[in-house]
Amino acid sequence: MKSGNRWWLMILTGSIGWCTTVEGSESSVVIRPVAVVAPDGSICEQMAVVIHSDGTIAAVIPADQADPALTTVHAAAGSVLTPGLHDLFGALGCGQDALLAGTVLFDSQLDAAAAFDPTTGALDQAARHGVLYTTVAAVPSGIRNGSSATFLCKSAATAHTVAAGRPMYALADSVLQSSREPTSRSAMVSLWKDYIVEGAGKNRDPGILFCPDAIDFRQSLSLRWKSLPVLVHQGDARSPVERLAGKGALMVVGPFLENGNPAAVATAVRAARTGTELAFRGGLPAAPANHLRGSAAIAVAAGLDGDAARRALFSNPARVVVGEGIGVIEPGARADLVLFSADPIDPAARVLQVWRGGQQMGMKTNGSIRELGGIR
Amino acid sequence: MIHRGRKRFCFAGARVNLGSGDDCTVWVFFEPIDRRKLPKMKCNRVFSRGVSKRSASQCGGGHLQPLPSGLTLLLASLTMLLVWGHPGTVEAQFFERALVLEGVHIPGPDGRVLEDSNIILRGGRIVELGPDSDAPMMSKKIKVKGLFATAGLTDLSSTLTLDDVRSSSAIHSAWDGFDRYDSQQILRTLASGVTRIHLIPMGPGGIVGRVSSLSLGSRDEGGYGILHSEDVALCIDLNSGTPLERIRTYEKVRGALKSAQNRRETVDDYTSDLEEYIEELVEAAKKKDEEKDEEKDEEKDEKKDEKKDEKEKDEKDKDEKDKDSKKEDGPKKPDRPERDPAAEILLQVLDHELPVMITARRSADLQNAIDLIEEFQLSAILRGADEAHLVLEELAELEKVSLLLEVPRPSLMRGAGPRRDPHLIAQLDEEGISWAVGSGGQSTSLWRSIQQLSGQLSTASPLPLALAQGAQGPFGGWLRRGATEVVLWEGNPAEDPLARPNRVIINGTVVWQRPSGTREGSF
Repeated sequence: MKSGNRWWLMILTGSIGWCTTVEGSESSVVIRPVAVVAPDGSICEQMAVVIHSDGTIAAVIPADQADPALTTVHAAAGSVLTPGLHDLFGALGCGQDALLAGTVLFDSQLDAAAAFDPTTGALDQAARHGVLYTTVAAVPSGIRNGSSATFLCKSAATAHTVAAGRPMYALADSVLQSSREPTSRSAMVSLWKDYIVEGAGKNRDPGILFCPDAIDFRQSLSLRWKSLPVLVHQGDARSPVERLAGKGALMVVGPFLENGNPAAVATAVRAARTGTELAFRGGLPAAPANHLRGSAAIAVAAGLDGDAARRALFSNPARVVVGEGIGVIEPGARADLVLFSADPIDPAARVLQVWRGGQQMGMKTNGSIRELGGIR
Repeated sequence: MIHRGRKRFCFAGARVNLGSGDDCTVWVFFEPIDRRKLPKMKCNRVFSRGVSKRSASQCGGGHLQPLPSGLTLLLASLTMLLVWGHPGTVEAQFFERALVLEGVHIPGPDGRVLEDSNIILRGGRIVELGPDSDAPMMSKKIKVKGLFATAGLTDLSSTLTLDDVRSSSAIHSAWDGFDRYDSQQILRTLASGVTRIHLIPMGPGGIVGRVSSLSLGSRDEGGYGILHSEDVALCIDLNSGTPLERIRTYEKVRGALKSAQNRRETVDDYTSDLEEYIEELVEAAKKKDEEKDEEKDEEKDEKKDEKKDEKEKDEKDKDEKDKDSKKEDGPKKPDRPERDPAAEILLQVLDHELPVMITARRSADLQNAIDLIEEFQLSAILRGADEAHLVLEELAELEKVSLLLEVPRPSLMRGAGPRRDPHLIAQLDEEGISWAVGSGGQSTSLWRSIQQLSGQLSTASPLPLALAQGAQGPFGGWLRRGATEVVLWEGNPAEDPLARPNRVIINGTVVWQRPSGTREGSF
């Protein structure tokens, strides 16, 4: 176990008494012995995770302290249990043009959930690759673009929401349209200033701000925020990410693809070095199915710390959407778990098992995922 | 080494520091050696790596302090004997400073790690490695304690710096399109541990050019890239375009190979025609000589018979005209076929002197590739081959065929691209079909691709798989004596999935070094 995680284990061992009472439930399942990704991104070895029958995590305890009478799932040697991966601001579960917004500049009524189709089979397919949550949002064509919506990746008749919607904002070229104000960047920034200082944006949830380019980012930081929004930033060499130092910022970056833009990766690494927390943006269903872990591997190769990369995969996306009980493995959280054959940021890691709300998902032979062949 | 150019004498070469911080081999040229003038001998010019660096005045230009003339000549003779005997060795052993990598760990093929070892390089090559290797005197030491040393990775399928370069002929070489000054892309590739690439030409489909092999070492004249071979394989792309375009491309390639075959017949015909022509020329020359002799005899007869009828004269004129016309009708030289360099390269392919690399991913394209290989009996490498599991039986029947796989990125969207069976490699191994892995792009993804593949194969470590790429050639494989490319990793790449390269050394030069923590990620 890493030294930085001793505090976490101490909390866990301190709650053993509580845990053992929970373990007494006959319908509980325990996964052990397994390495677990902690909320701080580190990996704790030789742990056991007890899943309650109500689909929540009952306890996270050292493997040798788990009740042997419980139904046990024996994890393969070297395997790592993680929360579900989170596809942020992709289009998973939505039709191709379903996320297009109208022409209203400040549209607070728009709800991205209306575009979500829970019956699509792509949700189950994504879950088999370890992606258990999807957050969708409208295309940022106005200053306020309604609210985001976060769902569990499960193909079913009804959608399962796992987080409340957050307001989506944009300060980007995509807001500028010839058919309505603003038509210039200076007008847009002026509107933004009015909105924050005097308008409806005052004293409200700063939400999530779409500011993809360096100029958008710079102008966003020049606004008088009471609390900084979550910044969705693509990044390039001119991005002044150093200005985020000490502000406790949360930034959504990526997705990083092989042979993609290296400047975006370098910007993310620079931001992380200033203390900014990162979350990887999704790209499903268009991107490769393992693009989130691919983004993490590319960022680590470019210099990102391994723990920071795991936080960017699991706990930070949940912080972005303010999801309660998702993105972490701790007592009381949803038992949406993925068992990887190795560290999830290792490109060699494969998905072995998936649990959604404590229910084990059917996997293919030997944990490998056979691709569905289309008819050609 | 004695150099007798321009009536000057190069007395000796030595590894010296010129003051700029660079060590280099310096040859000092003197005016002609003359025992009587020896005390007045002056330094004429200093050469470094073949380039004149300093003239006499710049390098001091003062009088040398000569040794006693007899002793000088004796030393010169000994040097000459040594140098003429083993010029490269002597230069490396006596004049090159050794480079020592101190305190590295060296992972081995058996999974063990040689800890706290020294790697000694001379002339850019490893001459000794292991825990017992002692650093020679005057060696240049690099303290890299705790880093793990491996050989450089080889990417067998790279398009590094070829973003906008398109080629469409057998005479085009990928090396011609390589941008050796694109240091950003090349350094990023080096930062991923790749030191050697097979550069694949890109084009609109069909015959696109020849694959080149190069090392990413720095060049003396600037930039990166040292060419090893320009003729690794001829690249044919059967993958580009719509299905109809791909069928047309296949027919076009087939037509080109057939016309190359026809050209061979034409060339063979020309050769035999030329031989016949030469024989006919010889015969014609003989006949001409005989006719001349006959003419002389006739002239003698004419002198004897001075009076002849005018009619006979007319007949004679007619005969002469006939003879002249016969001379003009002599053996006709065959027409030489026009030179066609592209067809000559295709002939090399047909003669198995040059393998062919066919890009095909879908089963239909693979079937086209198999038909080409069978029809023209090609030595082929199938690049891509994602749907090889659908034509496995046909592939197994072929001889001299290997697969160059690229790790696909599976998509959730149906019909987004060819799908690979996750058990393809196991199936290839069962059928005895050899395979290798390439990045198929900018090479930066090679290590991650191999890691991903090792996960699919459930192998303990990706390192043996990574070093096996390109190990059949003179380069690649595990770190050994004679190797010129060394990658130093921050963790053990055999065990630590997050291990990253820290330095890359090619030909004794540190070509890339990870920036310090504060500068990491910056441009």
